[in-house]
Amino acid sequence: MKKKNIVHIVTKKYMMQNKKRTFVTGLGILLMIVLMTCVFVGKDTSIQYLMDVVAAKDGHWHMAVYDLKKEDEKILENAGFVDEKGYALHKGFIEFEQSANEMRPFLNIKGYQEKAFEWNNIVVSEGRMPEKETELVLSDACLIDGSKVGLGDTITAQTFKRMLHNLGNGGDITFPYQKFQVLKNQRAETPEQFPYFAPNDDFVEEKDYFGEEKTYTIVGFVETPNFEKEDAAAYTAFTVCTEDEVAQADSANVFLRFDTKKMKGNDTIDLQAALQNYVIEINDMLLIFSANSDDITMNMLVNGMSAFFISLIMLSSVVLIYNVFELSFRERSKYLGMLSSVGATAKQKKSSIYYEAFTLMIVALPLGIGVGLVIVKLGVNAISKYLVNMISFNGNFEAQTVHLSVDAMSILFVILFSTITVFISAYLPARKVSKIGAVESIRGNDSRKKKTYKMRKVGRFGAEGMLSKNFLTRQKRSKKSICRAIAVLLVVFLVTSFSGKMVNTVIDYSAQDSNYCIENETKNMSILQCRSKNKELQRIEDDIERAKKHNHEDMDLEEYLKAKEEERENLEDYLPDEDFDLLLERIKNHPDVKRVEERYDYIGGFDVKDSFFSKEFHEADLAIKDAYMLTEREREEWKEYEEYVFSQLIVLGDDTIAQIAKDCNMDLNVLMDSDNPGCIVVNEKILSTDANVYNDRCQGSKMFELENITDLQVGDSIPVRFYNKDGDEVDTNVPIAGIVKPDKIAKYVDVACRNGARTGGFFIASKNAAEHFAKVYGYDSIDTITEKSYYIDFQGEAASLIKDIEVMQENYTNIYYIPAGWSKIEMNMKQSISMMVRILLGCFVAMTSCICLMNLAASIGGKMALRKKDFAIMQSIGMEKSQIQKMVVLETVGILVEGFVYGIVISSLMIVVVYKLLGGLVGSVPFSAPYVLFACAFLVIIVAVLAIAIYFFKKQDAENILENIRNESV
Amino acid sequence: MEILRCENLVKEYGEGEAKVKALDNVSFSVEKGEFVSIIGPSGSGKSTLLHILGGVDKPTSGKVIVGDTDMHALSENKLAIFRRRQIGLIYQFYNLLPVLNVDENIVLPHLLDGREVDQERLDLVVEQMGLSHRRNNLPSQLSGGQQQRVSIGRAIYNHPAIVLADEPTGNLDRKNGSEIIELLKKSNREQNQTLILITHDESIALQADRMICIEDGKIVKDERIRMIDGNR
Repeated sequence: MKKKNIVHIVTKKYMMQNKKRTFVTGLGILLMIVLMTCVFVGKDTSIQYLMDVVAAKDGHWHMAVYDLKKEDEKILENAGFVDEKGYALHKGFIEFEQSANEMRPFLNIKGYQEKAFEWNNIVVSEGRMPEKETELVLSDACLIDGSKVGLGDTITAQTFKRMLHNLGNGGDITFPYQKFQVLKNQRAETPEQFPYFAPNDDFVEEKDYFGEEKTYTIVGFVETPNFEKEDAAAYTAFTVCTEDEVAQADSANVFLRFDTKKMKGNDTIDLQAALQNYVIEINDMLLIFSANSDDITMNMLVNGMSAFFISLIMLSSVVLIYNVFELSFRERSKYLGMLSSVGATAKQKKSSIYYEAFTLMIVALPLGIGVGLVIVKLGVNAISKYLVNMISFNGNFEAQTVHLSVDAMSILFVILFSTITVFISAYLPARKVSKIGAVESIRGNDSRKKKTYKMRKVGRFGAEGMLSKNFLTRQKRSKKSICRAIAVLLVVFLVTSFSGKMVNTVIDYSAQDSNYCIENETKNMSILQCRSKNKELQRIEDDIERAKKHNHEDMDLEEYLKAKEEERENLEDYLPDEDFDLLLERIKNHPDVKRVEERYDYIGGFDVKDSFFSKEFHEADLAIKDAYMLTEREREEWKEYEEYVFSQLIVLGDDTIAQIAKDCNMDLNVLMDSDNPGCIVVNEKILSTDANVYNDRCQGSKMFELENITDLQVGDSIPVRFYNKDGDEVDTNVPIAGIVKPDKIAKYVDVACRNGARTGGFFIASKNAAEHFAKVYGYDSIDTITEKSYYIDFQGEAASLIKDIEVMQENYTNIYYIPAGWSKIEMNMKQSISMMVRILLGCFVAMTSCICLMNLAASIGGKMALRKKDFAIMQSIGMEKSQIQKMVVLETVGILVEGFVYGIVISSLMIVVVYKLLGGLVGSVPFSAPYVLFACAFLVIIVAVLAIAIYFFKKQDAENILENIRNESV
Repeated sequence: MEILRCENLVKEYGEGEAKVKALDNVSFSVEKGEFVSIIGPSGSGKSTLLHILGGVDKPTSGKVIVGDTDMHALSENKLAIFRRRQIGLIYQFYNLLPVLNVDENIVLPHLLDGREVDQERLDLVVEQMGLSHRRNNLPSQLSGGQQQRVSIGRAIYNHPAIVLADEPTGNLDRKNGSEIIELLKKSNREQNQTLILITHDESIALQADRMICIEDGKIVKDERIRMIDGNR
């Protein structure tokens, strides 16, 4: 006969008998496994999704090295984290007679290995990929341009190199955009994307033929590759490249994929440095999302959040499962005592609890993981839009299909953490069970109290109050499980609300723009700037004159003059002032333009003496330097630059200045004074390691929100230093006309963008003040030194006008145009991140709350069930239902208060830990507790607990008094 | 004076073939101050009868009139109030509230009425029950006999119309059992407390003024043993 474990058999029978209890426990374990799966697999899937999105646009490679020489291959070998390489060879150019664009008469033949094709998202739009060296797929740009070419067509040609021959008539020839130079009377091979130039007096393009003539067959067309420029002389034509060809080539383009698990923080930078002689491209976004970026904050945030979620899940699950087992233990203490009386050992009794726990877990594991995977797939799908928006500031990314990223390690972690949680939950009840004696459990008194209790007086709440107080104080053990459940639920709500708010605050502050402040009312306007060619010429002349005048010992005058000459030559790419004036006229007169405003957004600023700044400022500054681990020598070097700190000046129109003065009770006369004008100090600032960059040794990211950048008052003066156009120092004092916080002037000036290069702060001044400072600088007027911005409110489409402006921006280097709604991209990113954090935390709270509410329901329901008899006795001696209900409510309130006390204490500790951790990561981040959310948490819990208590009470109430009185056990 | 009257009490359980008649047209009445014992074999319906008399169970048909009140015509709330004022119930297994001490258990029905504790009455009851040295103890700290005394104290504290005792000595040894019966008899004699006691023990049943025998849900014998004044 097969040996049977009677304890397990009896346990199984009890589980079947108490289906509800078993179901609740099983559901709790299931939910816990689902949540853990969501955290581990969800994180991996989200990151994989982001990587897929980025790779779909930018390619699957991490680094691309162009024209890497064979002898430098060893650099890649030495970088142990280079996992895979895909080669591409430039095989030369051929004539493309079928071209319909006379400026694009060639084909640029690029041989790709299979990996290179795959990693570069080269997608066939027609036909197929090449399989032989004589098969080509062409960029579909040629079809768009009208080339008469189709599948199956052949091209017979010999490959050549494109050479530019400098005829020596005009000196060295530089093509700055292509980073290409041909020395006088020399020849040089052109870059691949070099445009086509007709022969002229200065240079002529020549072809150096090599190799044999071949006949190529066109087998397909591909989407125009990202690297192909519109003005390149050649359309791209892909073919295959063999290992032999790669081996024989002197140089090749190499696409690299890294084993990111092997990488350390600076590996990418070190490899770049080793390859500094080459043109390199890095797929930054892909590296960031492989969690091996130098964005330590992101890594820590992602991993920190995972740890945070897992801890809370485990905590709530342990309490739930423990509570249920503890109830279970009390119900079964009689039968376990009986088992004990017939010889069951402690181990056998313990095994009853473990058997129940692990039986349920074995069933819940595959189900929980399966459900978790489904939720992850659905969840990441739901937030995919926000994920794409989150990274869209860096390019136009498109949504991709979500693929589950299920790592064996992640599943192992789920199993491991679940097992640990269930074991912890079952351990204490199992220990208690093992110690239970036969006699106590049979009698029903497993504890003999020695304490006596005086009669409690009946207070305001009558007999019901007395009864409830007695239940609360004289049977403390019975309410512990409910208190625990309430405490855990409160902890989940409070800590998650707080953490969510903190994370959003950190994201909010760290995603601020820098150096760009625009008035709120102009946010939806396009901005056009033109750096004046005449002014630049003047500036260069002034610099040359100054240099000749001063002729410092340590200056190589000849070199300096040569550099200035180059600067003058670069002004050839500037749009002349007269032409810009014409453009401006056209804009002002255009029917689709509602209005144009001239503003002086940025006149630079002045250097403010460090004595102006507060202790708070200096302490934050010091902390940032510490983060960069400056050496003593470096600190000494920087000291020289820090006696005066550059601060930005914002010049606003007279009307705006007058409004600000009125709103903030400032003396307008001081602000508008022409001879000694005052400034408004914006007395808040963020200093951060992102902006104050000293070296590349920064440990983590720190941010400090300064509440007061200065301790000075209105009426005091700001000690400033100007460097006039002769380079002389001019020290002066600028009166403080007002000191404001950004929110006070938010409707006029958006100074929420508070990061910036190491600026001391923001000062606001009138146009009169700017004119005065211009004179101090040694200029006649502000117009000489400012960047005037034109804010254009386009009412209609104005498509052709905008197109012309954009073309001008392409062609001239002094034109700067930002279309309206630019800030939307940034806002989109911030909002997306915030939204995602809210969704994730919201879902997490919802699911963990389910565990906690089930815990509560199980605990309260269990307690009610155990008190069936008490309620029946009360009814039998004449207690009305409403009186019993009142007693239950009063008891529940008492338990709530106790649970809240524990919950508040634990939450406070956890909140402090979260605050310190996040603060340690990012610096001093201001926070305010989300009081509304906190209040909602308390309210929700109170309502839930009372509702559950009354529900279970009413359920009891429906049953027969006599049966309940007779019922010795549940 | 008639304090209790039952008219054609029927109590049925189950349906169809499984229907069981626990009480089959039981009718009798009890005078004020009478000590009635109800005796019968196990399953005879005596406990069912007691519970219906106590208002903790409802008859399938028939009436129970205590004083002038048809108990089972009352609403649930009114019945509860009636029970705590007019009925004192004593169970075999004491059924005390585990979180109340001796005093609190005794005065609980009184407190439920929202009335102030009559300390003199409480002291008297406690003394009568012999529990003066145990007033601050919880039921778990008392012996079986002591717990039953508390139960009796609770039942009589309010001077109810009737005290109903369901096998009050069933869980006690002979000595304690005798003491309990003596207490009940004392309460009946000295306070003219109407007492109806269920027992399967004939020796206890014969200590009453009147003995009603029940078998299979029917009264088979209703015998006066002694006059209400205590004489046979």
